[in-house]
Amino acid sequence: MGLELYLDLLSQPCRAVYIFAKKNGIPFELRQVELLKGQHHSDAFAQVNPLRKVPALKDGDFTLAESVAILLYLSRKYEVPDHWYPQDLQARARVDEYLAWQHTALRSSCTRAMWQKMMFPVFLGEQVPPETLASTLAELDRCLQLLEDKFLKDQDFVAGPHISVADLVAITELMHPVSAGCQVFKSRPKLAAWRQRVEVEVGKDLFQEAHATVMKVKDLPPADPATKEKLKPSVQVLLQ
Amino acid sequence: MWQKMMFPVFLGEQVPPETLASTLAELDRCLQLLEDKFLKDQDFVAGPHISVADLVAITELMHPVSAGCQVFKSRPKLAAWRQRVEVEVGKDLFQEAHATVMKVKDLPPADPATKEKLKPSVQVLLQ
Repeated sequence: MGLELYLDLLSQPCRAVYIFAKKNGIPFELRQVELLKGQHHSDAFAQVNPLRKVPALKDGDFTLAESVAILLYLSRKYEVPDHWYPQDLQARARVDEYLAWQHTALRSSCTRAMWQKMMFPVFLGEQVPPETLASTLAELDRCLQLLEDKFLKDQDFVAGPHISVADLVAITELMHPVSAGCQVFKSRPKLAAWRQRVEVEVGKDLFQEAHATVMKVKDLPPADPATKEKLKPSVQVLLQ
Repeated sequence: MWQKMMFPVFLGEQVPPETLASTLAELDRCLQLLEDKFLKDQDFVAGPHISVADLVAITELMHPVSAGCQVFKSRPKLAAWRQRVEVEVGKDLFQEAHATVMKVKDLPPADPATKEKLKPSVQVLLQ
């Protein structure tokens, strides 16, 4: 059994891993783990990732969790073009810096924005207090400003002049609130231009393919009561 | 660490008991994952040898310890790992690195000007 990637393209980090693997021609078996059906809580999946999250990787007997670790493992094993995770000391440090910052910053606010604006009201039928959503969108805005001012600056890409794994991680995050109707790029021409560059580098077809699932989520019928009961406990934390 | 110590002691701000309880439960959940998924039966977090992962982990755990949370008391596996890390790092260096945080519980309460300055940015830690 070769490389297996356990993914749900609903998830931002899964999209980053998917784009990276496909763009670099890395052969893998896609193992669907449907988050909205609670499949990540199964005992079988816990064998692959005891943290019960996606993405997860299985390479023979070797299992690996955490999208950043997976991206870096793949970049090393398959010897992808240098720009994805550059060898140069400082260039690599810039990518590392972005990858470290984004977990508790952009990732957190993009997930909350998407869930509070769309998933809770539309899919789970649960109203979100307007002040909670407002606070989340303000935090998202703050993170976007940091993305522009601290990371992107006047560069073509987030960590320098060339596309890297940092851009894949960033763009897939930003598409999350976009899928919920947040006009992330509308008032931010710098980010919009960067997005265009990333789509061109990745390839528009692959970019669209990776985002097909999340862009259709707003059209999902409301969850049935059983699904709501299963999902609600684990997503309550996203209401903060 | 902030909910158990910094808010009440330094900032003079009471934290709702249910908030603290929820935070300590989440801490407990993470400690269990640290033991079960990462440490397992290994000597160190990422394998048989100390790595940067252990430094990141131990310094994190010392944070609630500084606030009086008995993180290692009921977790012999983590306590044993902590001992191994301290030996590898060197006990003097380990103590030196943690001297500041271990003394924070003895800080006098913040003056009003400091409170005003700090409160906005630390409110998020009350969730």
